[in-house]
Amino acid sequence: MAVTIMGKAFRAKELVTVGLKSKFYGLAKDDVQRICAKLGLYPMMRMHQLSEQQILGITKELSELTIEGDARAVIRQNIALKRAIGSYSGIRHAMGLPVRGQKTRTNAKTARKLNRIERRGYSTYAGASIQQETGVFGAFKNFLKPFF
Amino acid sequence: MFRSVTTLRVSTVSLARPLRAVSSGLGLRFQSTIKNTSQDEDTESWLNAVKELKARYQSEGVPDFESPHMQQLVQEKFEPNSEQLAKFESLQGKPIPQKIDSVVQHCTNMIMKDGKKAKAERIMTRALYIVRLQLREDPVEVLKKTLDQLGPLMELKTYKTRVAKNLTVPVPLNERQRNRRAFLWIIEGSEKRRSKDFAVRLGEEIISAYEGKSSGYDKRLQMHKAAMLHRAYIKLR
Amino acid sequence: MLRAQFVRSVRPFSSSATALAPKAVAKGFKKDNDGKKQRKTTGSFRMFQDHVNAGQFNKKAPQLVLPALEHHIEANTVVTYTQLQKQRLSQVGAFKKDQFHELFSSPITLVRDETKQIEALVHNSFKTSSKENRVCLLGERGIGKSTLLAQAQALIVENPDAVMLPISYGVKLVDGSNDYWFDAKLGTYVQPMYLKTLLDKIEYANKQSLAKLKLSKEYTIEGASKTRAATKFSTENTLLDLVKSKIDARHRGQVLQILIDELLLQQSAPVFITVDNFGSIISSPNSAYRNVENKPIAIEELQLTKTLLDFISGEKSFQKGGVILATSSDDKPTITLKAGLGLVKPDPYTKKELYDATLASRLAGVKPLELAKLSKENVTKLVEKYVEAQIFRKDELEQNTVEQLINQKYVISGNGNPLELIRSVAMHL
Repeated sequence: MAVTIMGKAFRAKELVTVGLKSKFYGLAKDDVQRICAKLGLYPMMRMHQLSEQQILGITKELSELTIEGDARAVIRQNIALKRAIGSYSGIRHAMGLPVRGQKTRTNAKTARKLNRIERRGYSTYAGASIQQETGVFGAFKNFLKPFF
Repeated sequence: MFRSVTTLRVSTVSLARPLRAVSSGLGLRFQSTIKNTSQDEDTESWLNAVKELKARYQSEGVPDFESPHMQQLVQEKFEPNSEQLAKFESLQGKPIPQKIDSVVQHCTNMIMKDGKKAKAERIMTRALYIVRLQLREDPVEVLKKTLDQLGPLMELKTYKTRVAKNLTVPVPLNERQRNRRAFLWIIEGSEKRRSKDFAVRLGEEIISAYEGKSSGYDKRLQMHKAAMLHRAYIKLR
Repeated sequence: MLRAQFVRSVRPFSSSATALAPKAVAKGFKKDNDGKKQRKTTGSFRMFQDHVNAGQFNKKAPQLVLPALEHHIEANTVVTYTQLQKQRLSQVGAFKKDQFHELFSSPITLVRDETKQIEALVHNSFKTSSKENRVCLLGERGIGKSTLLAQAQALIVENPDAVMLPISYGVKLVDGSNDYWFDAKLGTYVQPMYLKTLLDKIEYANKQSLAKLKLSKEYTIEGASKTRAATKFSTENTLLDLVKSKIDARHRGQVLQILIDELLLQQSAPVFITVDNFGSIISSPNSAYRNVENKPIAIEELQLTKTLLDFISGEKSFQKGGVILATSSDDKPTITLKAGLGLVKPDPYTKKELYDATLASRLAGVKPLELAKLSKENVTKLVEKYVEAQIFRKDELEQNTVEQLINQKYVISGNGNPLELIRSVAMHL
């Protein structure tokens, strides 16, 4: 049976420390350790051992941190700021090219894939951050998005 | 470290060889904390010895350590006594015993992946240990007997004739070939078992094959039937 | 069907077309069992070590006629445990998984010189304070530290008055594998889950002896159960009742506290503390647990480890009894243990992770007992029994005389390491 925390399902046997760390974008090992220490969860606790109250406690602690959408927004804001002030790295982001002086004659494939002002944050749940366009043509675009 | 010091003092033969060791030992000496004064004296005498040697080499030149003259100094002549000679004579005809049985070694090599023989050997050892526990017999003998029971006698081989048709001819297999076919079937059968540990799966499969329950026996029968069907193609000279 | 085709031809770009279309049949890739993975059902589901342990293979082994392990038995004899000893030791967790007991119908063990030393210590502790009988077993991997601890426990079990507090894996106290909770009443962190198993072990191991000991005064544990407001123990109750009582997890620490207090007061029963994997407890001043401020909890703050260290250091001592510790090669190697036992003098520049002076000072007065390798005579006795138990390869027996086998195995076992000895007999290609 799976345990659900903030809309995410965890395997029952998974360690709490490992599960939280891997499924929430922007949550580090130390953050999880702090949460567990505060709530009195022992280091080798498994997901199915969490009581209702402890899950609520975790949810509360997580809601105070900048994770998931908020954490992604911070990164986007930083990139947008760089672009707005017209800095070199901002321009490189906008052009979809490497930012830190790597060569572009060959390779630079990751940069072409990822670098843009509305940069997508890497995590297990990337789907949520992709904006859906509206309207008739928008629907067509959405349909074609995965192929390009 | 200390050994090199003493050799320096005592013999000239081992002088050059420890030189490299001496230099590394020197580094170690200064790294470690000096504990008492007797060690300090040691160090001093040792440093003096190095200096002396350096001066001698500079004046006389470095001796050629590879020359046969130097080799003679190193070697001590060994002369066996009569008892040892008698033992040597008695062991003359006998082969050196194998550490690992050749059949077991063959099977171990079939388990091996990416050249990791130690891992393969551990799996094999554990599998044979399970066989021993379950059957209370010598596991190597059990394995040999199982392979003998399970191994097919004939195999179909396809020969290309230059004319239109290919020939499928039954060919007899030698012992090693039979063992190979049989053990690969055992490995195949072990994959259907439940344990996550390959050693347990393999051990259990060897036991059931020994008791005549492996799916390999069907394959063996099929091979024999096919061989029988094609027996007309056998050329007897 | 017709409708679906019609719709598809007229509005090829709408999403409803795909929704209405008949379900496509995948071609080419054949799936068995409706796409589910074939379930594997035959055979054991365990890993090797557990499979070997849980398979009850010892029932298939030939019976050996051996004397039982008892007090004043001669050194250099191969013995087995009595029925009572076997039962108690397995309940206590003295038999480890990698000791090759499954090869024999009943676990066999060799009485060696160190056994006599430990026996003398046990005898001494039937009479004297536990402060005088503290010992720590040391030695290389496979030399027989856990086995010697088990032998000591077997000798203790023989005394119907003796009480044993057994901890079979010291690591589990500090590695964060059990829950923890701060008991404000005791002022320490208690580990309820571990305490449950420990109290059970104490109950099984000391059924007769604890039943003889009555409580010296009345105790009340408040809020100990959902149905009762408080659980009371009167002077009519024995310590067995205390250990057996069903107390809520959060108040279990108090049960242990009362038990220890009562055992300290009484004079009739000798009390023994036995700890295996002790090195991992002492390897660091901090446990893996963390407090509310996210600071590591020291092992002196945990109830169980603190109690242990109190008795190990001799700060507290039973009026009769002993403390027997065994290290393990699995433990993290630090200088703290050996420095505490007075075997090495630590370099003042040793790193903090390797040496903790305050923790080492807690070990002062514990006698180290370094296990030596087996002698040729010991190996002879063992190999003879192995031949009797039919665990040798046939070809080995055919090609060699027993005397030759003994010589070979003595060398192969690294001049008398018991683990390597039996591995060289039963576990080789």
